[in-house]
Amino acid sequence: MERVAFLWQSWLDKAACAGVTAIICSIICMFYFRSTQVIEQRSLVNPVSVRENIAAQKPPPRPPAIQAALDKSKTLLEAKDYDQVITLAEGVMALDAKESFAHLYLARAYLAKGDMPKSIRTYAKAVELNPDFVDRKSLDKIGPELKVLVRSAVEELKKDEITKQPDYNDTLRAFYYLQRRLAGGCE
Amino acid sequence: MLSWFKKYWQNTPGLNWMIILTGMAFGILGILLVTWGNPTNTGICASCFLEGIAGALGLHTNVRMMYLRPELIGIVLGSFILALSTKGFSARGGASPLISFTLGIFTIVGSAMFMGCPVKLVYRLTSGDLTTLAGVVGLLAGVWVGVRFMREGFFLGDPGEQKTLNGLLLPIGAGVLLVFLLVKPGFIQFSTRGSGSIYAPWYISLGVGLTLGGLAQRSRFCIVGGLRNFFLAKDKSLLTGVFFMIMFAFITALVTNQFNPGMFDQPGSHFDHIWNFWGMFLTGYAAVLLGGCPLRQMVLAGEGDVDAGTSITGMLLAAALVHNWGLASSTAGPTFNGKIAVLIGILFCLVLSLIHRE
Repeated sequence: MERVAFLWQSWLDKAACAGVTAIICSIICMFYFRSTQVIEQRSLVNPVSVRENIAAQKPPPRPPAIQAALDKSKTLLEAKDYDQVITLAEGVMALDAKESFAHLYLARAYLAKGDMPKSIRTYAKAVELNPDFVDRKSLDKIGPELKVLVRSAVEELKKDEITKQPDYNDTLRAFYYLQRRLAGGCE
Repeated sequence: MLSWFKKYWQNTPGLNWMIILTGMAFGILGILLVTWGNPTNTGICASCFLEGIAGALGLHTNVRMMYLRPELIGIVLGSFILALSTKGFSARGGASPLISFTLGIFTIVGSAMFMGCPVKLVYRLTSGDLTTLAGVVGLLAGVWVGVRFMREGFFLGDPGEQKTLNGLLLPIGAGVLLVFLLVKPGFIQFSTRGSGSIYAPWYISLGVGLTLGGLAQRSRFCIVGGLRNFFLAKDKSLLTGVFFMIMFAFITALVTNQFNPGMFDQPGSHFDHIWNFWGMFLTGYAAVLLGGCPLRQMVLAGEGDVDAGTSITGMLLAAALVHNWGLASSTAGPTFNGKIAVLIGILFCLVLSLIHRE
């Protein structure tokens, strides 16, 4: 009991005890709200899946159907058949939501069709799934292409027709994410 | 200006040239390391570099964070060499080892939330990263709270004398890591992409580490320690060193074209200011209870402090856990697990502060 009385000697002890209670309540609330999915996921994609992706030293070979669809998407992109690319890439993502190249081709197709907000969001997902896209030492790097996009998006994202879109905040978040990834740093 | 500084010098007991020189060296060399090849805004960072070392040792599986950073090895060895040559080496410790270990863990958990330790905070700030401002306030608040509890009687206990080998183990460990870095045995992993693959030449990094470790050993330089001494006793001597570090880092960033002021396109940062605040709050709070920031712990370990060695072991474990358990923030923002870990860390520090008193 002496110990407990000791805890209440000063305002600092009282504040600390209040802090302890508040933190315990916060943790319980965070778990509760997370289970009811009220808390917004900050990550653009599921962070666990990203970690799995990063952890893979050598990614397993793709199933032949997915590989064929990706190859075809690439060819169709060069042939400027963007609608077909979108259909194919979405088909691949239905089979494997973590396939970064499907996101990449989809983003390129959206951009070519003039839908910059959708393109930015999809590029951001591609980069989060596959950080090699913004890695200067990687063969998969798309840094120069992204820099051009980000530079042109600065003005584009201020336009009224884009700011009024319902998912404008998501687009902005994805845009800032791409900016920071392109800036480099240690993570 | 010069007369003002002369007066300031006379009115600041404990201030000496070594502290100023150490601050200047941390400021200049930390920013130059980026020019020489380290990741942007990451000249030196205890938490990032420990994560790299943990990855290289196979303690986590993030293939983008695996490199035996010679800067940290150099800091421990630099401090060790200077301590030996000036007869400052003495094996001591044994005061609350498991508490030091746990505080070491939470220091890194807080830093992983903020994406950098207090030293990197200075580099990020002086390179124009305005997202660090919340972290600065958090660090100040964390140190202030820790100091309040120190005034109330928080004390980890008196370190006792230890057998010399205890104090030698961590510098020897650093030497072994240096051998691993040079020999590159098969069981040590090195990133081929990501931030782990971006580094200055090892001899430059090691040289910088040795220099800073030696200087910090002589001057007792520490960012958290400087703030603690100021809040505790209005002692501005160490804080003056920190001021010089900030000033010279800023000048070097300007000269080397690394100064990029703004909020939006900052490398290795995120926008979640609230969690930036709490991350640095936890780091500052835990570091004050430990007796110094992560880099100071390395310097202390180099001069034979076994408790500091124990806290570094905790930090190394945390450096692995923040990746394996998904606690580390990324440019996409903090994770749910990371937020819970930070809250648990603050909870631990508060309970510890309340019950661990002399």
